[in-house]
Amino acid sequence: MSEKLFFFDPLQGLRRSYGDLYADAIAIPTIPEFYWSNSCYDLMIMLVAALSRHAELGLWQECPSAAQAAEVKAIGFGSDPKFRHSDLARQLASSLGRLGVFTSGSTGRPKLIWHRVETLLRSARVHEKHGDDVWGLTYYPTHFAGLQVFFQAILNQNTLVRLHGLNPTQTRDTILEHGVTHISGTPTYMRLLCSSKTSFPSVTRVSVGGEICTPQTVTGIRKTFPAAKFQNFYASTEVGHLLTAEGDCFRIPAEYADCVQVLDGELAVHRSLLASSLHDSYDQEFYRTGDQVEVVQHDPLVIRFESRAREMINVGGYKVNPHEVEAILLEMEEIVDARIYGKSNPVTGQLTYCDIVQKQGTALNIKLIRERLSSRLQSYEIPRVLNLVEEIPTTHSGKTRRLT
Amino acid sequence: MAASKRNLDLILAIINEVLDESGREAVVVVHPATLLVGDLGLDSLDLAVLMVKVESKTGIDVFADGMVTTIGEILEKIDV
Repeated sequence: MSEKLFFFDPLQGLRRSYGDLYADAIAIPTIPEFYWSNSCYDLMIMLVAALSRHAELGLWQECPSAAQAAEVKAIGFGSDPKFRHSDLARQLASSLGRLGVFTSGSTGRPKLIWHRVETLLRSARVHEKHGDDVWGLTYYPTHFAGLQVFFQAILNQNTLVRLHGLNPTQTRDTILEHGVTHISGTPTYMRLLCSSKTSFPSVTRVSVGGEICTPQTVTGIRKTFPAAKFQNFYASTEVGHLLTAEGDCFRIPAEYADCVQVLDGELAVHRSLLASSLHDSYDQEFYRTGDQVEVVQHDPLVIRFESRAREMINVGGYKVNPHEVEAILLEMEEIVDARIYGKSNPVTGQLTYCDIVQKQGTALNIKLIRERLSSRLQSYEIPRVLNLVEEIPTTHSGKTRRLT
Repeated sequence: MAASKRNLDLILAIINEVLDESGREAVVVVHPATLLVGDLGLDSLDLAVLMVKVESKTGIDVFADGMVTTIGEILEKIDV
């Protein structure tokens, strides 16, 4: 009998069954405190190995520097690798382990946020009817949304097909070849996929999240995936998966009626819904998400998102912290002052712009800036449009005046 | 006809700016049927920049009614 396919990665030419995953996971001798790998599959083996042993594992979003790795200390538990292949889903679901995911904090350095498996499984649906689902993985597994897809697939023993990092032609061919049925991505990812003018009849479910999804994007998705049910979800690294909608209006489910509020036009959630590490340290009753919403209906509460977290720039679902980028720009000797801001863009939701005051006698251009920043920042964090200016305006408290 | 040729040259120049800014080689010829993503290898960030540049040169937001996929679709929008 041929074994059920767990993972296919066209970039690595890798094909692994559930049996392989099980064998690879128990073969790992010790769980590191933090882990990062270029290989999606290696990451997923490490996830399984850690959770099945109730260990804690921090996941880097990118390769960490030695100094960063030394800064955070996590605890590893003793190992108990006695799980069986067939018990994999149950073992993972009942794991006492925690996963640490980094988020771009709204001020300064990225924050490490620990999640219990329980939080990560909040949105997972396990049922026989999902047995033949084939998931397209558009996120990297260290991304919070990537973890959600990973758990949904593994708990139902589904095949995962890597789509992250593929060019549009490879993406189209891979979806068609493997008969992907479920796909979850940011609105930006979907817009790009829709532009390939291909129709994907095998896809029965499309979910988008991470950014505001415009009605135009929904129209494009419906055309590209004619057989798919569409779902819009609201999730964040701090809160996890919280709300789903069929269009752009989110109805707060009865079980969250007391836990989700709108305070001064901002979405606030009760601390009990926060990731475990935030839950312990957060002293207010309600956590303000920074996301601005419009109340469409009061009882039951229905909301529509107007803008996502203040200050953070949202480029295709990825958060860019302007302070972090400015700090790196200011290290360049040609630059006197810099301001980073997002401007709305129909393709990526927002695009990162920079205003720069350059030293006399220098001639900066966007190509040079991008070259310099490419070793320090992720591609989506690097500003794409440069304006050379005489001065950067400030607020009356002396802070850089933010533009949106 | 002359206007279309001028516009095609303008789009070619803008695409080459986008490619150059990320250290990629320039393209020599594009046709109305050329696919921005499939043929030229542009990603979503490139498309976002392309849109900004086209708008700053022509005043037209070519993505206003949804995604455009070919050079020809850009030309249609800026020809009006």
